[in-house]
Amino acid sequence: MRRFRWISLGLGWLLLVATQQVVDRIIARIGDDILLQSELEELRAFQQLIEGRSAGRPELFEQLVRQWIVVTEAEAARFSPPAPPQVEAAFAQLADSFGSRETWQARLREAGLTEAAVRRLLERQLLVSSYLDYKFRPALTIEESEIERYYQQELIPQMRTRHQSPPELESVREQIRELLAQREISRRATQWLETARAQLRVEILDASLTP
Amino acid sequence: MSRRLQQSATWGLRLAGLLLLLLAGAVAILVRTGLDERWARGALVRQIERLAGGQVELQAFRFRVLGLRAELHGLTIHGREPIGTPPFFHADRLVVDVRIDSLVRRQISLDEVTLDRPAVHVRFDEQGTSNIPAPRLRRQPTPGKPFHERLFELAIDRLRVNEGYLLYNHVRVPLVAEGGGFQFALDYEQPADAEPRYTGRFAWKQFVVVARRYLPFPTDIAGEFTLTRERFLLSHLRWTLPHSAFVVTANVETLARPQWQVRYEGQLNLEDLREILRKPNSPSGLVDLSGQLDNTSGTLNLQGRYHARGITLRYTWFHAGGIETRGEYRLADGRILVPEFEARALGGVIHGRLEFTLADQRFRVTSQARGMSVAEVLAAVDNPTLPVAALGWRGSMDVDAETTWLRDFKSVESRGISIWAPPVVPPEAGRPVTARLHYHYVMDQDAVELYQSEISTPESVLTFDGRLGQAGSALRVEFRTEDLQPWNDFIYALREPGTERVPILGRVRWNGRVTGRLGHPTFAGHLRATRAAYGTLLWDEIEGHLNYSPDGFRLVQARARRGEAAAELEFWLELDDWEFRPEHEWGAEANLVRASTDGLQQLFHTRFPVHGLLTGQFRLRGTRRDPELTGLVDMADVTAWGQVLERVRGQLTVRKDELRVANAELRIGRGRITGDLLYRLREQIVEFDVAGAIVPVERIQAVQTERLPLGGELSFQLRGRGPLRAPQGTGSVRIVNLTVGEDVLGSLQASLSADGERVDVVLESSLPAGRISGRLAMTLSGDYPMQGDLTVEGVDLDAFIETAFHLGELTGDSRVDGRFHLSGQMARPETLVIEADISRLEFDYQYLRLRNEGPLRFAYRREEIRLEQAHIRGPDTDFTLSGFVRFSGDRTLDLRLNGAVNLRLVRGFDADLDARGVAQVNGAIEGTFTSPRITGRVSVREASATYGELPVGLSHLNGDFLFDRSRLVFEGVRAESGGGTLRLDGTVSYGERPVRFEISARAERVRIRYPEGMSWLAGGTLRLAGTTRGGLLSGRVTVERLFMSEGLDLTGWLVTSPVTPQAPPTTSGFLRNLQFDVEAFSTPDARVEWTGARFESEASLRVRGTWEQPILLGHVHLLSGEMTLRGNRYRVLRGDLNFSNPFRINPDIDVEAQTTVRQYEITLNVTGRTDKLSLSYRSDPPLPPSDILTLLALGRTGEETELRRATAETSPELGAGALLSEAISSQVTGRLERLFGITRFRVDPFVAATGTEQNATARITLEQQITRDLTITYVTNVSSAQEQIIQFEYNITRDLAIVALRDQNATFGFDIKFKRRFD
Repeated sequence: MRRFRWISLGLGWLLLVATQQVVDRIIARIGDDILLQSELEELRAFQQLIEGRSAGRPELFEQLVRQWIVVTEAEAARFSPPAPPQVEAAFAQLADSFGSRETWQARLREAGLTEAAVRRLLERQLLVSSYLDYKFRPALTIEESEIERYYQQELIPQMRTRHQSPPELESVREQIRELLAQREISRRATQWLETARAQLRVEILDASLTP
Repeated sequence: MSRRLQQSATWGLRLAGLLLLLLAGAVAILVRTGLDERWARGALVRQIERLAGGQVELQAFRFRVLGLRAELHGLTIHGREPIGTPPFFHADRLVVDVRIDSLVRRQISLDEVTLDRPAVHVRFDEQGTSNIPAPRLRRQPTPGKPFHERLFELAIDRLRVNEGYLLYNHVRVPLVAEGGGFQFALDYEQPADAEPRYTGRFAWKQFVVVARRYLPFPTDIAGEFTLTRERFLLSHLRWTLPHSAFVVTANVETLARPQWQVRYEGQLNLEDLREILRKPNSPSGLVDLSGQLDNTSGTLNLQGRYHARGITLRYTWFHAGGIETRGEYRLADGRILVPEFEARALGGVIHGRLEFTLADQRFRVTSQARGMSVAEVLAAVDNPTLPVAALGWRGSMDVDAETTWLRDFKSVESRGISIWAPPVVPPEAGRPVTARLHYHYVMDQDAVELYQSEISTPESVLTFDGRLGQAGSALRVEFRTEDLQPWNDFIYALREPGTERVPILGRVRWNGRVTGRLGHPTFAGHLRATRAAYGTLLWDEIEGHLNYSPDGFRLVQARARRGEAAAELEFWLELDDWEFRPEHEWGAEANLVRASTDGLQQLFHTRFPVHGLLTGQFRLRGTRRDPELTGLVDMADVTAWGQVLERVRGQLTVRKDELRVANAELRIGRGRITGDLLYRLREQIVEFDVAGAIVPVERIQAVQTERLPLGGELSFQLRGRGPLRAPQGTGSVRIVNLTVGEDVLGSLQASLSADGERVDVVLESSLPAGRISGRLAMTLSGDYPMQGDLTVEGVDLDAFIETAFHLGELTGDSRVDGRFHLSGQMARPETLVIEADISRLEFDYQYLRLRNEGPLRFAYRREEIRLEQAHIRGPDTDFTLSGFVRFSGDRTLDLRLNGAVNLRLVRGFDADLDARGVAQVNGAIEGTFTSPRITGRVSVREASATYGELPVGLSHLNGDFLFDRSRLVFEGVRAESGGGTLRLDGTVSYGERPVRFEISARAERVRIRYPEGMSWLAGGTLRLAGTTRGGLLSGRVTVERLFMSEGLDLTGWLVTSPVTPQAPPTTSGFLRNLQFDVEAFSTPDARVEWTGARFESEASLRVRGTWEQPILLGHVHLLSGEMTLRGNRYRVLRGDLNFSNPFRINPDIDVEAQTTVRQYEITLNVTGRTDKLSLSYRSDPPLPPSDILTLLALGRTGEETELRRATAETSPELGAGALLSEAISSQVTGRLERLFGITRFRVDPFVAATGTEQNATARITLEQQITRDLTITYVTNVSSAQEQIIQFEYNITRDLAIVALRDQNATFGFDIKFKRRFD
């Protein structure tokens, strides 16, 4: 997180030197760390790039705070960051999803993002996903009864809704297990983020960030 | 008798006479010379000496023969006293009146004896020798033999002893008495073995002592005594007073140095004591006494016991009866002591000790009272100054006290502690009380000190500390009560008798002092009362400093609140001994802030119809007889006599006979009314000067009516004076922008003048169009008769016309020219009459321009219009109208209408009836609105009409309608409807409510749209019978065609809706209650159609039910036809719809239809009820049912569909796998959305990391059947834009098809398919 911040500051400085117009500022303090206006803007641009719209400033701020929580803990746990090939593969996947390269570049310009920024965001996305899985999966235990319950109460009805014959349980057991694991990871991650957020001392310096 | 004897008698008489003369002469010589007195005196002295035994000296003696009175002067009887000492007896004078009882027996009585200044000296020396002389006995006793001789015996009818005394040694006893029946006998006895003695017996009745202040009434005394040389014994003495009696025995031993002992017993009635003491208020009762008094030990000893009962005290400060007390007393150390007495009084028992000090005659009582009744004690001390009995307290009282007083309750002083406890059983009447009183009462100071005392009842607590007395008081009092009502009796007992009694209620706190004299106290302190009431005057809260004395009442720094009304006030009254007299002054200052007038009116018992919030400062001065109230009034949110005002202000002055309002201001909306007003009540004279500016007329309730709302801005100036009902004055009134209803007429101005006898008003107008002018005169007397004329020229009077003729809203401008004459009596509005002569009347009604032909004359009087002449013309209208209509009361009418009437006008009377055309009317309407009698004829030609929501209307209506008083009859009325023809016959009875009708209609090829979405082409005969509340439509119709409107999904209606189709909703009560009983048959070529469907059918139905819920019974056979369903065209081979459910439309359906899809002939069977419909399929060539459905839905068989799915899905596991993969993916996406806000794109780190192919089931398949024979299918892998599959399929024949495919590798290929089926 700190590296990212320094990178952000560095970029901001370069932009400042280059244009002598960009001014960055601290929007909040989290413990002894800070959040910058440029980080907020970057996330907003990323959402605009992919979703075509972005959340409001208060929600963007909360998303940044949640990212900070996960990244800070990952750094503290010395969790390995994503490998560069992973980042590149994700970058290529995203760029290809826009069809042509021209379309991709145009969308980048429109969003005000650079490819490096996108790589950076994708890297964080991979880091967050990996760490959450890493943090909560080892503690999970999926009972066989849960798998059977899902099979009977959810999968079969859904299949029938689609007018499809349900498969045998054994053929889909592992997938059901994975699905139940992902559900539990999501639940625990949400609970952990809410608890951590409530205990976090955040000093908001920008009034527009408060809902 | 012989002569000799006569001569002897004569000589004897002569000799007797001579002897008498000689005797008389001798007596005369004796009397004149005093020889008789000397002889008598000598004889008397000798007799007295013999009786007394001592030497007697008599200075003078006189005897009067006449009157038999003897007077002895200077009578002295010497005893054996030494020479030089006073004699035993001396009287200055002794007068004796004698009465001769019997000359023969020589018996005489002493009638009256008077002793003047008798003195008796009895002396005993130390040896016991006395100076009492010893009587001389007639005979001498014989030694050893008893001897008795009566020395003398006196009986005196009346004895007086004046200014005498008895001196016994040195003890002087006055002898001053008189009385009757005095008897005294003295005997000398010498018993054989005892010493000689004198025994005496005396009695004296009704004797009084001269010192009446000691014994003011006569008493009887009688006794016996014995006197010896050494001893005196009073063996019996009975002393009887008027109501009392005593028996005394006394024994005096050793007369020289007397030691005596007296025993007494008797009953003293305190009435006698009261007379002796001359104290009419002294206690009464009976006291039994017994005891003895002696000096045998050298000191005076007294002891005895008493028992007093029935003691009653009548002091103002204490009055009680039935007291009983007993005890023993003794005399010791100069005190009479009752060491322990018991008394029963006031319901309790008192034990104590009493001391009476002889020296200063002071009483001291130390007492402990237990269990006395508080009620009885209060009753005992109750007096006009302190009417404590009215408190009604109940309880028991214990008192420990020490009380002293002198003689008969002089200088009483008492101190003690009194403890009160409530009764164990709650009393039925009165209030239980608890108290602790520590007091010190001093009669001489007329004061009582109270130390830290408290009295409490269930709702009240009274604490006091200080002094209360005649000379001055300083009692600190704190009083708290939750309810003042129990104190009302006490309060009114304190007040002047006869004071009107009103309830005094509330919760009170008073903290103050009582000062002044006891009979003239002053209460000063702080008062706070909540929920207070004085009669009908109520306050939620009142607080202030109170000073209340017999001289005055003052309440300062006070605040009172009633509801939302609050006031600060000061109030004072001048009193005289608590009384507020008419000449006494009083005053008050009050500040009110937003005080509700409702509360104030309740306070002052007024009921003016004025409501609002009053703020103001008020000042009251003057006397009770002649008060004066002044104040500044400011009221907000005012409603006065129904008029709403935003604000009312002014300076108010109210005197006994005068009410003045100066600088008054009333605000109504934007307008203001200002002015001054003076009213003298007695003379009923009023003076006023008021002006109004831009007062909104619409805010003046008095002139507003619902039907004729007025508006505008009113300004006026009025000035005058004089009697209230006939003032003199002038004024002007102006209304700008006068609005009547929705129409703005313009401005009106009027000038007024009154001379005390009449008022004249001149009216002019300033209207943009037209003119109004007029004059009005009213007499100011009687019922105020008035007359006036109003001229109207070219004025738009829509609202007046609507109001006057009770028409609905006019649909255009109107114009009126005419004259109106007003007459009547203002005091009796029912007499007011408006007579109109309208030269020109034009108005739009139902968009028809109507106008009069010739003058229109009518009179309007209290909701009645009487038309003398009215000729109205307009488009297709030319009628005359006369008669009257009364719109209130019995609502009678009598109208004649002749001429042509445009039927559009009818809508003004019935909004549901929309008619066109002309009716020739020749009729009369009589009766009432509720029961009209219409006679005449209405002929209609080429008219049209629709009514409400009926699905059919009439056109080309021709016929005659005859009105026969209470019935309308029509026959052979023809019309067209729905493209067909109708013949109408029937009657409508309107004589009585409800209106009844019976109408028959014969129709040919009429199109009826009912229910919603259905249109029938039918003919037949229908009959409608009923009332305006509902009816029955019956008949027989034949249906040529039934058309369903576009958009009706019959399949959906049959498949999904088991309920009866709904008619269009209606608000008409008649339609809601309209029932059906119609038979419907189809014509041989009857058809049922809707968009995409057409059937030849045969039907036999019966329509039942109601307008909103119709029911079909019968059957419909579908003979042939076709329909398009989901893009497939079906041929109906046969069909039956049986409607047999009498409660809802739920037919049994049996329909067989056939269609061809590609090379397959598919036959569809729909059977069952609409709520349980079942479909069955068969095909040729045969196919499984699923294939048939697929073929119908997708245009291909299931096999072919599965072949298409081969590249995308090969097994059910992969289908589930896709589902699970999607679910897994959504979990990851969800987490990332919370952190990054991204949903549309995600990277799966595991997929990205391992490079694993994305789940192959994540694909999209789109299919579209372009034509019956051409189908295009598109399949794509969302993870790869390159993985797309496009397929074309074209059916050449039923058995032959070509398939063109571009797969995910962009490879193109063709397939030719040939099918052959084997049966």
